Amino acid sequence: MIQSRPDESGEPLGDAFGQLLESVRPELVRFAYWLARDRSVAEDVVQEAMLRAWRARAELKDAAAARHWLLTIVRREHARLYERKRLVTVDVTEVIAREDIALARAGDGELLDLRRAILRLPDDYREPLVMQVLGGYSTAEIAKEMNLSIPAVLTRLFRARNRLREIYGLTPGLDCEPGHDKGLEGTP
Amino acid sequence: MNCSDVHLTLGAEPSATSPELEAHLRECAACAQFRAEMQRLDEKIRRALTIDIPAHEFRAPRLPATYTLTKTQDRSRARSWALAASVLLAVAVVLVMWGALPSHSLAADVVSHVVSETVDHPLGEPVDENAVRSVMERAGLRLDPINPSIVFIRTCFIRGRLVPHFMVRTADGMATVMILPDEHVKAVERFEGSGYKGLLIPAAKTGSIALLSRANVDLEHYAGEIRRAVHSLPEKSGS
Repeated sequence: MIQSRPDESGEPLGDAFGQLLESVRPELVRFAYWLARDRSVAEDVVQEAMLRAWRARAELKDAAAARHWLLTIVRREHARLYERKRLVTVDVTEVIAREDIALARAGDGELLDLRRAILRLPDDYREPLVMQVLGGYSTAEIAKEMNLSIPAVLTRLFRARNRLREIYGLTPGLDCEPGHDKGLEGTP
Repeated sequence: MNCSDVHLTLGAEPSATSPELEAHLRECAACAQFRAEMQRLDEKIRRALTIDIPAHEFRAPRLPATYTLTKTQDRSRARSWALAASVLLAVAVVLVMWGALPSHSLAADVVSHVVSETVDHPLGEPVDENAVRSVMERAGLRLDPINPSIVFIRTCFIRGRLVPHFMVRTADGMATVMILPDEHVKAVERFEGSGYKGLLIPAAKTGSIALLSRANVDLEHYAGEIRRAVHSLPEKSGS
């Protein structure tokens, strides 16, 4: 276990666990943002997740596994938020308009288009993609977390990327040569 | 490993590698280009996802005044017992459900696939004939026009194969159909699971067909019509 002292004051923590949370917090918020598509929701999710992590810190035996452990807590907290609040489907156009300034920060136009496209991905495609690319989860880990089969995860990841290919004018073109006509369909 | 397998693998994991995959890429320039494109795209996705989050000071969450490490450990132990009990219960439920599903792994896989499938467009209008033809041809099949109309169709990956998966709108509600050319059942089998009722029916030359619905749809009636409408295409040479 990583030792830390409970702090009732709300002051920044100076010891190991507090420093750990402090150091990964931006990464957790980033991860939560791409799940929730809303900066303030992401902040709430991370705050709740940190509280849970703090309470459960005895379960963390290996500091090297902390990042993955915390990302998983964030992901579960985000899922809980949906269950509790029954959040309705967001208006993606509104989200993009609201988030454009933040999304455009330190990014060129091409990157902004890609970010918008990622925001437009259905949750079921965006979540595994974010878990894989940003969280570093393996396909098996995503399957376990999302309660899906591995082929289902592979299909969702494939379809997510297939949609993003369109941004760069890349066709899904799965036929690699005449006569090979068994390509996966992208989306209907 | 064929081109479809390669595309699925690299589309899902652009950095994937295996002796089989590498052998295919050495022989197939189009797939090699696909990998290069996917790897470049993935790097861009990584950069796009890495949005700037201002690092500000973390403040410890306020904890209950009674909080102690010992209490946490006790709660963990209680949770462990609760978790163990939940796992046993879940196993029991799965075993019971498994027994209720004929050709259990096939029926269970079909239900599991349908439950996890994302339908991300409105199911209003019948889909285009060309889309139906395209999906069916990928599985080496042809589908004559059927009534009710198909309102959703795509190729899906189930049990390691790419199969046509479509939805029809009946007078009694929506029903899902999967054509399973490589799966064989000896006779009509009925199953239930996750709120669905379904049928697996044998189909000469085209494996089997799964129909399922959450609504009170007369699946037997539509099963006959769909079975008559599905045909195998002659195998292409060189494919």
